[in-house]
Amino acid sequence: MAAHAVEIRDLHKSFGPLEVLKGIDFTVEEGQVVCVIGPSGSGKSTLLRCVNLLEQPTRGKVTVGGVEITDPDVDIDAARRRLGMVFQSFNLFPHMSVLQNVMIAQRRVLRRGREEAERVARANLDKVGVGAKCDSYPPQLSGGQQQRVAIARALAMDPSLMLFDEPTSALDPELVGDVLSVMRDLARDGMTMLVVTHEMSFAREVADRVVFMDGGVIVEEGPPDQVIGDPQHARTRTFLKRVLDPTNAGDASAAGDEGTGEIPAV
Amino acid sequence: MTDQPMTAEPAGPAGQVPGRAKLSPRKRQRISRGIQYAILIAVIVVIAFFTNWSGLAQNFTKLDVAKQSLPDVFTVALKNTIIYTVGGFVFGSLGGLLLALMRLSSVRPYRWIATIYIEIFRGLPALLIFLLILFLPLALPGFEVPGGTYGQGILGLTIVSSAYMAETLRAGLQAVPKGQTEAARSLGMSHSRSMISVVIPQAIRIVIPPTTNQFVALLKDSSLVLFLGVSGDYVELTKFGNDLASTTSNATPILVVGLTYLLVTIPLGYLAGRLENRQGKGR
Ligand SMILES: Nc1ncnc2c1ncn2[C@@H]1O[C@H](COP(=O)(O)OP(=O)(O)O)[C@@H](O)[C@H]1O
Ligand SMILES: [Mg+2]
Repeated sequence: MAAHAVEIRDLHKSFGPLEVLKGIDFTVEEGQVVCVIGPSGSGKSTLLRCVNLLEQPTRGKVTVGGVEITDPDVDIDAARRRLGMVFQSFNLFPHMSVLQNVMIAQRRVLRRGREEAERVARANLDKVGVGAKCDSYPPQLSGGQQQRVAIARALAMDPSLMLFDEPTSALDPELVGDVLSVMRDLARDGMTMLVVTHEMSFAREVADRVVFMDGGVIVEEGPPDQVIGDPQHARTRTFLKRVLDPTNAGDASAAGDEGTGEIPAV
Repeated sequence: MTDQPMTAEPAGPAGQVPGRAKLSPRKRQRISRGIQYAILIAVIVVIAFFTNWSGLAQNFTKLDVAKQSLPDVFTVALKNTIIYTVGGFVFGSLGGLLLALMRLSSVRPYRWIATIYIEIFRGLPALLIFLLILFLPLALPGFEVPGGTYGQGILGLTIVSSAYMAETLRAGLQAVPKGQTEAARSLGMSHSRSMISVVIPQAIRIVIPPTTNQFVALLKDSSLVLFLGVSGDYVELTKFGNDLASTTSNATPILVVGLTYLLVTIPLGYLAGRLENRQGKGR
């Protein structure tokens, strides 16, 4: 049996007394796109950050491409090279030009020569549609352009898995589409992706599987038509109602807010 | 004194006429300003009347004495002041960066050492540190600061400035958003690589304005080299002015030296202000 692209077993994470992840199990297969949805504070970012060890899990096992990254003796820098991460707030390096942003890790981490790094950088910037902005500095770009540069920066490292943490949440509405279409293209090219998002139409269209999280556990998971189209759990329905129809969802809030107390086994 | 300029306020929607004060705020402001000018003029008149102008001129602005200070005030004294200051600044910055990184280290003893150093040398008068250096050979016979007089002066200024620079740089390092390190680490950079390529360059930009001010402070502290008993080719501005004032029994050299300090410090102060403004506007 080939290794899973990502395998998460019994993952727990606490911040002091606050238990944020309370036992997460799931896998992502090679070439799959998995979207993680759920209310704010449910632990989606923490889950994603445990996958590339920006957070150290309290308990459990995370394996990426057959390498157990929760092994205390793992070379985490080497493991992270295979993982691209895209943040909600872009996190481009403001003191470097767009081209340098995409080249720096290629040069310093992969030890690529200047010419090769520049060629790879330009190719990836073209791919995400910001090839004309090579010499600009991040603060001169729109949010949508910055996020696409951030995607190119991650892609330049030839990752085998891309992690996205609400990549469009900080964008003006009219800029969301550009970023989503880049992600759609990536998915079509067969990139393995783990995406935290509130864009339900994107999840429905692109995801192979949708995972709904609430209160630090996975409440429901399955194909998008099932989880988004025909949710089985009340908490999923409440959440979706709020996201899809925010103006009329006020009265249905009772089930969701106290949801962190007792969690039904999944 | 009213700080806010009075602008014409539209009358209330119901058309009420606001109660008319006997003295409108505008008139009151005018009277208050008139009083302030009157006080100022009175003070100037009193000072002008009681000051011994000819005595002052005799003592501070004798041209022939001022001429005596040329060109040495620039070629020796200012040059040495700059050597001491730049030396103390360069080594102080390096020491400060090391201390700042130690202070942020995950190794606890490093944090302790850095904290103790910073607390001690920020809390001591710079003069005391120079006296310490002066008496060091007594405590450690045979020990000599490398670089002779320059070495001693620069060492004193380095000890002082590294403590201040450490705190400035630590604040700068902490002001770089956490997401920057996270992005760098996510790209596979090691901790030190992300420091070198991502965090430190941004921190340096953040601390340029406060550092310029520290350079000015250090330039003034370089006058304390006077207490090391330097002489001849090693004198800096203050010592130079002091010596010349003694030999000529005239205060003019003090004025000359003071103006020479200002020649450097005022442009630097402006530069710091401009850098600060630019940083406020940029990004
Ligand atoms: N570094 C941290 N320290 C303390 N608490 C944290 C930290 N990061 C996240 N949390 C808490 O963990 C919970 C889940 O956060 P997060 O994973 O960001 O949720 P989501 O991304 O689903 O909105 C929140 O209650 C948040 O306050
Ligand atoms: Mg989040």
